[in-house]
Amino acid sequence: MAGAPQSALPWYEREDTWAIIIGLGLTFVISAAFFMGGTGMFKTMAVGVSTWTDAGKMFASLPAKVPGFLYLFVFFLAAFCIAAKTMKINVANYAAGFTVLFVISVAITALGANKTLKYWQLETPLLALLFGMIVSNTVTLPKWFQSALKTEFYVKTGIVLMGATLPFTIIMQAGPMAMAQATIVAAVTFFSIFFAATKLFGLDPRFGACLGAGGSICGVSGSIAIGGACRAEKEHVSVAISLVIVWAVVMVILLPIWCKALGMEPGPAGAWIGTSEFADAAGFAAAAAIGDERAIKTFTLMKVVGRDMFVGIWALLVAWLSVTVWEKKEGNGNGSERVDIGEIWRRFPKFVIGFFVASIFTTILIASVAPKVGSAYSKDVLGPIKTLRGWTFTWTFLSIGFTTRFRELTATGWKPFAAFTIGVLINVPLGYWLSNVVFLDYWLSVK
Amino acid sequence: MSENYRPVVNHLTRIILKLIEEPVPYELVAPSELQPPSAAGVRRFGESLARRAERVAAMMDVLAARGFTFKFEKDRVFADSIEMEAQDAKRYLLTKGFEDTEFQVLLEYARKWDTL
Repeated sequence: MAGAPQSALPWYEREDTWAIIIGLGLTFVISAAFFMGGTGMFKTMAVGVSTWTDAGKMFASLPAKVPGFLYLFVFFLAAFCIAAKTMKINVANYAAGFTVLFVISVAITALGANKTLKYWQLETPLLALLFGMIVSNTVTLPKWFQSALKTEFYVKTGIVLMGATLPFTIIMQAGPMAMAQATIVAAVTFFSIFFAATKLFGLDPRFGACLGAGGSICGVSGSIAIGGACRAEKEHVSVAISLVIVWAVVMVILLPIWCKALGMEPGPAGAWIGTSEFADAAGFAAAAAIGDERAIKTFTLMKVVGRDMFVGIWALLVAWLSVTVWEKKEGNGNGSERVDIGEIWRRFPKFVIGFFVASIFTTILIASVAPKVGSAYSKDVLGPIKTLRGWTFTWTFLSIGFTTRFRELTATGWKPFAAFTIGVLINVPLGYWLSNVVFLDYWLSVK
Repeated sequence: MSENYRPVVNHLTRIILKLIEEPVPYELVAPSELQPPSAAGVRRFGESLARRAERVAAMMDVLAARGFTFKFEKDRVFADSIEMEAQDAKRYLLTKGFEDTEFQVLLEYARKWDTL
């Protein structure tokens, strides 16, 4: 839940817990329905809009989809409201806000299926993002609507569902490559930003660490985790978050355009986005804009498996540095305060567990049934899950847009901006080179 | 950085106070393998536990004065504040005569409003 540090909450009130419950619950329920011969409702619920050129025909096709939209709405409204109630969010406000968000998401999905807009890469993710940003930067959104803009919650739920559709064998094969590439890029970018911030611009080392984490490890979550680990000031973490958001929004537009202009294959393109985009949600939008499932898979491998998972280890290192070097230098303690190894688990993004469990579950299930049943399972269970995952990402993209208020992101000061930008200028070409040259074969092999 | 920059995060500063020091001072019971445990050793051990408990209570007193609230979990007391920043809390305890080996500081941030 936004607003309350997770340590202050019992496990059942945490956003990650509910993302796992909803994502895994949906995977288990659809799987059970498949073996009991009744996935009909879920297939109806997995509704989408086909590519269109004639608006009249598109509108004519909508009435047949109404039951699907209704099922989809009722299911997610119920699931999210149960989560909201447990997370102590005002359920009436949330339900009203989600209803509006859902209606907008249907309209944006229909618009994003237009052939011309697709040609211009203005598919649902970018349209949702742009629409949200235009609205939120021109009108003041009512509080009840804001309560439904749960970017992190939707993206985490989507990532758990993503796990169900990503075979664990692929994670095992490409995972080490993703980790290698992520480690190279994360280390180079982190230290570039950190040294630029501290040596060139004379900023506090903890501030430099927050900026470095935001630009290299996992965006906003990285800045928050590392800021906590090294006990950076509130303002430092806030500035780092603002810079992550600004650059994430820039990159969500630029990276897909560059991928297309450079004629990149979907696999390496997704890996590049996973390496050089700064936030999970924005990265999914950019990867989805490539318009190929392979890009989403390689993006997920890079971002979730390669980068997000290791935030705990970075946190432990930075916490140790903070206590033994930075604070000691300032005379705040003599450097002998214990740094708990539990820091790794404390900062670990727990929803990633749901991602892995979902992947292992569906992979074992498919491997243990006859090939014919496995194919039917992929079509009748993983197909709908993929569509439902798409909807959670659409709500994510809309939420990003609706919560990105540029006025609130501008007062960061030029020094942190310059330090972060140096990291961006190193990260983006390095990510391209690693994805499209050094590890090209691996990313091309992800199907 | 702009002086008027508005934080976009909330924070929780948590001071962790372990009731039993680590490593547990069992050597007080039997100072070496050659010496069997003695009643005096057990008393020494008890006194060390009492000293530790007194230090924890003293830290709780000074933290309570700055608005910290307390929670007990397993073998430790958590002193929580959403007002005082972690660095300030550590500095405060040090100025009150405590050593940084006597407590651990945990800081956690959360987004104030949902964003990326």
